[in-house]
Amino acid sequence: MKKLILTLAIIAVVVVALGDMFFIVDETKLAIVTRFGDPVRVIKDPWFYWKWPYPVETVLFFEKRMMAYDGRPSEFLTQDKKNIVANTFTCWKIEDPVKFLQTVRTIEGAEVRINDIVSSEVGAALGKIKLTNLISVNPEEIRLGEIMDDVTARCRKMGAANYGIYVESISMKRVNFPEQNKPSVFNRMRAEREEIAKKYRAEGAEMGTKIRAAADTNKKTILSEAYRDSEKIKGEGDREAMRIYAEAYKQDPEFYRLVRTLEAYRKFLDENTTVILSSDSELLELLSRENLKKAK
Amino acid sequence: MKARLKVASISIAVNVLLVVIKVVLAAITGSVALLADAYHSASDIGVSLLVMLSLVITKKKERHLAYIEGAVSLVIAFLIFGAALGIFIKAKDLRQSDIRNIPIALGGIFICIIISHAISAYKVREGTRLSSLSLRADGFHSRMDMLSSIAVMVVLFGQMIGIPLDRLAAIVICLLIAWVGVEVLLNAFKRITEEGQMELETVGQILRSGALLENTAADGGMTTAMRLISYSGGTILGFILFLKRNIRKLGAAAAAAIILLYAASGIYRIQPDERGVILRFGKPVKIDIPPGPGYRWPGPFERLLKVRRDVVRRTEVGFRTKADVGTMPVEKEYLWEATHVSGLYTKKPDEALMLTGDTNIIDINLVVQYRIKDMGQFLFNITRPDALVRNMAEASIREIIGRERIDDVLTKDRRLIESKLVDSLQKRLEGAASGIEVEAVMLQDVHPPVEVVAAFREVASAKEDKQTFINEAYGYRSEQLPKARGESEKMILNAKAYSTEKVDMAHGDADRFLERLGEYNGSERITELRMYLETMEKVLPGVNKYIVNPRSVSSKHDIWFFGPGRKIYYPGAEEY
Repeated sequence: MKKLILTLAIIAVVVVALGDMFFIVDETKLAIVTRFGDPVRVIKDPWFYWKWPYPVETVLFFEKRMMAYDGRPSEFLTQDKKNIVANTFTCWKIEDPVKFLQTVRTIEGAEVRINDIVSSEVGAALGKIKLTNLISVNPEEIRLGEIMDDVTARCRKMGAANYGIYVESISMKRVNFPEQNKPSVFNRMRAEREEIAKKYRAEGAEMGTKIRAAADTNKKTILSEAYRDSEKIKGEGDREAMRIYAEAYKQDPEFYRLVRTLEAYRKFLDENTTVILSSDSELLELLSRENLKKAK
Repeated sequence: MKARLKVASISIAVNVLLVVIKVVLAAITGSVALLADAYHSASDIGVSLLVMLSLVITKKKERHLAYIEGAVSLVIAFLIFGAALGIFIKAKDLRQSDIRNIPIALGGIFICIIISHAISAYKVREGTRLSSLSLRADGFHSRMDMLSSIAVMVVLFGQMIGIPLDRLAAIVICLLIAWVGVEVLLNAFKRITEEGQMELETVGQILRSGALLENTAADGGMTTAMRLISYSGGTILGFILFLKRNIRKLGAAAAAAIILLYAASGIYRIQPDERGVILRFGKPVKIDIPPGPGYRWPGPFERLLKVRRDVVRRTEVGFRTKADVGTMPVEKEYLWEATHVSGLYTKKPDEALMLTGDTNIIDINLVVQYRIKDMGQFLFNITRPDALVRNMAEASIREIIGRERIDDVLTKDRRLIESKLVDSLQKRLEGAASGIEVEAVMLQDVHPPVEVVAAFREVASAKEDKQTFINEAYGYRSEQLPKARGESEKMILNAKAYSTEKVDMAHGDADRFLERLGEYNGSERITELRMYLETMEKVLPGVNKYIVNPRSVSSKHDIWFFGPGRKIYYPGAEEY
């Protein structure tokens, strides 16, 4: 019985040891084989490998793919003394797993170091430029690309030398004003908008007045032209009438005088008129008998 | 012997026909039970094939060929088990059977039942006539098939009146199929161990045979149910006895089966919307495997990754769509002031707020749609593609917005920004060898920050006001000018009328004068007098008249008048 247990135990140990001797490195992984804690082999290609079983050799796996580290937003001061909050993100991967293991051990550890070096590099870079080198409507002023290339190059050198990582790219993800500055930015924006609004209203008033004035002018022109034309027409009528009258009346001015005078009497002698007639007048002379006799 | 072969061939042909009918019916109805029944009939084809094979081998008296039959039986048994398992999984995963075209299916399955009945009767009769036990057994088997078809018919009928039995029936039929598998397996072992002859003597086999006796005296009054019990009981008993006798050989067979199953675990199937990648010891050996079935090495040697390559993925920047909106109120329309505290979306102000080139703050929400362009790169070069795309999209949009004026972003440059963003993002993703292709970028909500929306709206109102002023002025002009034109027309017309009137009057007056003049000439004095007197007559009556005698009034006296109607005292003048 004891023998059987011993045999089984030995078999179990052998099986476990054999199982521990083989490992597969995936396409997405890097591996280090350590012998009593010392790295002895670095495996970068995926395949099927063997090693000595556990206490002698162990295998450690690392991510081979690119990782994107989303940096912590930090406040910086630009050369023209503007406070900005910048946030970068870093694409990186493990290049030298042995150095990586010795210096930062884990991805989290690496991210802390990346944040440190990127923050310091970005801070230094931003201190040398103006805000308008980051954001501007004038494309010639913008130097964001070259700044980030510069930061990337420096961080790449540092990462490779110190932590066994390869920094592929560092991008400026966010540039914002700090929360405390926002109210004043908003105030400025509001003021700008108010100005624009006022301008619009003033423009409206200006154009409205112009249009009204033009309309008034137009109206006056029309009416004066009409007056001019109508007076001319009337004059023409008058002239024609005068000609006709003159032509007719000049044939016997004396008769005209008679007719017209009598007509005028009919018109202007009314109830309000008081006439003082001489009893000697042609009209009344027959009133006195002697005159009557005379007439006879 | 020829006759037996003929019967077996007919049986196979009929079963093929049944399978075809049932598969078609299953396709047009969508019933799993029908599909299961089709598989059941298909398993019968396997059984019939085995019967045929056994007939051939018996004929040739070549015992060693029995091994071949055994092996074939084994394969068929596995196929049958596989079919049973497949149906079972399908029935299990199916949420709701949605069955259509039930009347057609009922008709079809009825025909199948009749065919099954005919072929089973035919096989049993011929088996009796030719005294072939295996043919009779096969005939009995066809009767089971008929029973399962009847069950399907009941299920379909139930489904029609609203009792959902489809899945249950499918599972029951699975068990029937598995039962057929057990039988075939038994046959296989029997052939391999060459103990078939001995088996016949066991109680089980007797019971089984008893169930199949039909035209003999022992048959007297056996019901179908009794036959079924007798047959099944016989099989189980036979199986147990068989296990007991052949435990070692069975162990070997089990080991073989395990190896077979292990090897079979390498069979895979890639769905139509997927692509496969095979990794051998972690190294990709086959990338972009098109949909369909295939084989890889099992276990730790090769690994299969399935990726939905062509699906368009989506990343949101500035906001997130809530996965579960539930009963939350959804805003009807999104205005600029919306703070997105409730409703379908969650706002991410850090992502959405950005600086424009003229140092204003703007709130931009966008959606990026992307696809896998290079599966190798996508799988093995990058981690967390969604986060990568979002981060890069954020970097790109800020770089672009940082060169724009806020007014342009809000109005005319949206399309331009989208296309610039696609280019910039694509460049970044290619730089990272991510294997991702940007399909489209859509700016969603683009507006000023909530804090200054009122001011922006004020600008819009001012713009409206401006237009209002202008329109009012145009209104004034539209009112005044026609009036003036009317006035002018009126003046001209009046003048013309005046003129015409004047001329006409002149003509009239002139003509009258000339007429009178004609008469006047020659009798001047008398006409003059007449006209004078007539006029006086006309004029004087209404007039206040004072007649004064010039001789009685000295020129020194004044004359006093006291208004109309008053008596006038005039010295020397007598009252008139």
